[in-house]
Amino acid sequence: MRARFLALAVAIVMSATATTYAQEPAVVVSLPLPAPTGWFAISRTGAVAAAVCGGSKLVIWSLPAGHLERTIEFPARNLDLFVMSDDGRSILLADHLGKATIWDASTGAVRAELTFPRYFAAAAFSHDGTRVAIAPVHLGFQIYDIASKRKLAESAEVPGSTSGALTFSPDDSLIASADGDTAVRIYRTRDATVVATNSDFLLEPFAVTFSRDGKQLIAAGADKTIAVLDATSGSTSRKFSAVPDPIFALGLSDNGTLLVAGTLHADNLGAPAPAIVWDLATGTIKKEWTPPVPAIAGSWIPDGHLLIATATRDTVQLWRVY
Amino acid sequence: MKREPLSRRDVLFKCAALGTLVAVPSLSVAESIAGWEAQQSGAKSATAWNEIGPFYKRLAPAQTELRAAGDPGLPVTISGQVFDTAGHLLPGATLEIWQADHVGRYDLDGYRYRTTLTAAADGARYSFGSVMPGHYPGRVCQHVHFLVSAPGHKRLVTQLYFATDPVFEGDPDRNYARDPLVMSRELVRPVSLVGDPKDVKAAVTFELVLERL
Repeated sequence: MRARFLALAVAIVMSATATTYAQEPAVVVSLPLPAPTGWFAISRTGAVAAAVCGGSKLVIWSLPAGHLERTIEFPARNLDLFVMSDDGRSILLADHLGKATIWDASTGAVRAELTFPRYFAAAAFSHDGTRVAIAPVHLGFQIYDIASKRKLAESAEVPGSTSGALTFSPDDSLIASADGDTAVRIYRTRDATVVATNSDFLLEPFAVTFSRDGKQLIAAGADKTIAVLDATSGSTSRKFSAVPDPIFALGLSDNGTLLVAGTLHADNLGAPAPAIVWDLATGTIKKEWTPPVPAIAGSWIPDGHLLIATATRDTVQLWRVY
Repeated sequence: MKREPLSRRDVLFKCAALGTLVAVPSLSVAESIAGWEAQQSGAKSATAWNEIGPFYKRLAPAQTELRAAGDPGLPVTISGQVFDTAGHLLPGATLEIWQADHVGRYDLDGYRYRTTLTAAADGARYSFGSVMPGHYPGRVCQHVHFLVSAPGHKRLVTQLYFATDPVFEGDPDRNYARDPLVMSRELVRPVSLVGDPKDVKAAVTFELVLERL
C-alpha cells in the first residue's frame, strides 16, 4: 500500500515537472542566533521575523534586511506554541504550564498575559490583529480581545480536543479548527458556535486555511491529501492527489492561487521532508523542495514569493523557494 | 424528640473527635474519612486524560491480536476492565486503541497496531495482544493510546505508559514527568513478565474509569 503511494507521488512530481517553477531555492538572508532555536515565525507582511532562542530569549528582526530589532529576555519557559500576527506586531508564546504571553514586537512590551488550566494545542490571531483564539488541550478554544484581555467567546469541548490548528477566515467572521477526533469544524467567531463540520478525514487533520474569498476551507493532515471544503456546509468539494507523507502546515499565497504544504516523514520525524507548492485551481504541483535540514517555519509574502526557514545551531537561514 | 440518625461521615468525624479513630500522621482526618468512604462505596477516580496525539485513525477493525506472526518486538498482553467513577462496570464500552510498532512507526496507510474493542458483557473486560511500542523522535516515552466511550459517560482520551520504559530509569515515581505529556503517575503501569525464558511475554493491566456526563 505504502509503495503504491510512493509510486503515485513520484508520478505526480514527474508529470508536473514541465510546468514547475524552475528557479532553484536560494538563501536570501541569514539571521545569527544567540542560542539554538526550534521556534521561528515570519509575518505575512514579510517585514518581521522572530525566534525563541534557548527557551528564554525572544529575538526580533526586520526583513528583508535581517536587522536585529530587539531581544527580549524572560525566565526560561517550556513552550508549546509560538504564533505571530499577520502584521508581525503581536507575538504569542504559550507554555506547558498554561501561561500565554502576547508581546508587542514593535515596542517589546507585554500586551497581554493569559493563564489557563491546561497546556496548549493551537492558537491563531485574527487577521485584523485585535483578537486571539487559543485552544488548551481537552478544552474548547477561547477567543480574547487582546487590548482589553477580555474573553469574548468559548467553544464547546470536542472529543480529543482542538489539536491540529486554528485559523480565522479572511474577514475574521469564522474560525476553522482541525481536531483530534479527525473532524474539521467551522465556527462563528462571534459566539464560537459550530456552523459546519466535516468528518471525511480518517486520520487527524493538522492544518486548515481559508481561501481568499472565505468561501472555501482547505484542510490536510495525516491522511496525506488536501481536501477543499465548502466553508458554509463543511462538505468536501474536491481532493488533491495524495502525497507520500502527512501534511502538517498549509499556506495560501496573497493572491490566493498557490498553496504550499509542509510535509513530515511519519517514519522519521527528524528528517527533512518536502515542501510542495500546488496551483490551487488545478491541483497540479508547481514546485517541490526538500530543505537540507527540517524546515522550522515558512510564509508567503506580499511580493508573491515563498520563504522557508531552516536553522543550524547558530543561524536561521531564510530560503526563497518560489 | 426524634433524633436524626448520624450519617456515616458524621459518625467517623465523631470517632475521630473522641479518639476512637486515629489518622496516621501523613493523613488529615478529613482525608482519612474521604478515603474510607471511597473504599466502602467502591468509588473510583476517573482515569487521567492524556492528549490524543497526532495519529489517531477512525474505523479501526476489531482484532484482539495486533501482533502478526513473525513481528519483531517484545510481545505484550494488555488487559483490564472499564468502570464508571461509582465503581459500576461498563460492559459494552467501546475502546479504540492504537500504538506504534516496536521501532516507533505508526501505520497511517492501514490498521496495523490499531483496534476497536468492546468491553465484555461479563465483567466489562478487554484484552489484546501486541508488542511493546518503540520510541520515536519528538516523543519521550513508549505509550499506547486509548479512546474509550460509553453512553452517558464522558469520552476518555488517555495513554498507557510502561514502568519498564528506560526513560524512567527504574523509578517512575521520581521520573515519570521526564515526558512532559505524562501528566499523571497513575498512567504508568507495572509490567509483569510471563512465559518461559525462551518465550518471554509482558503483561500489563490498565483499568479505565469514565466520568458520567
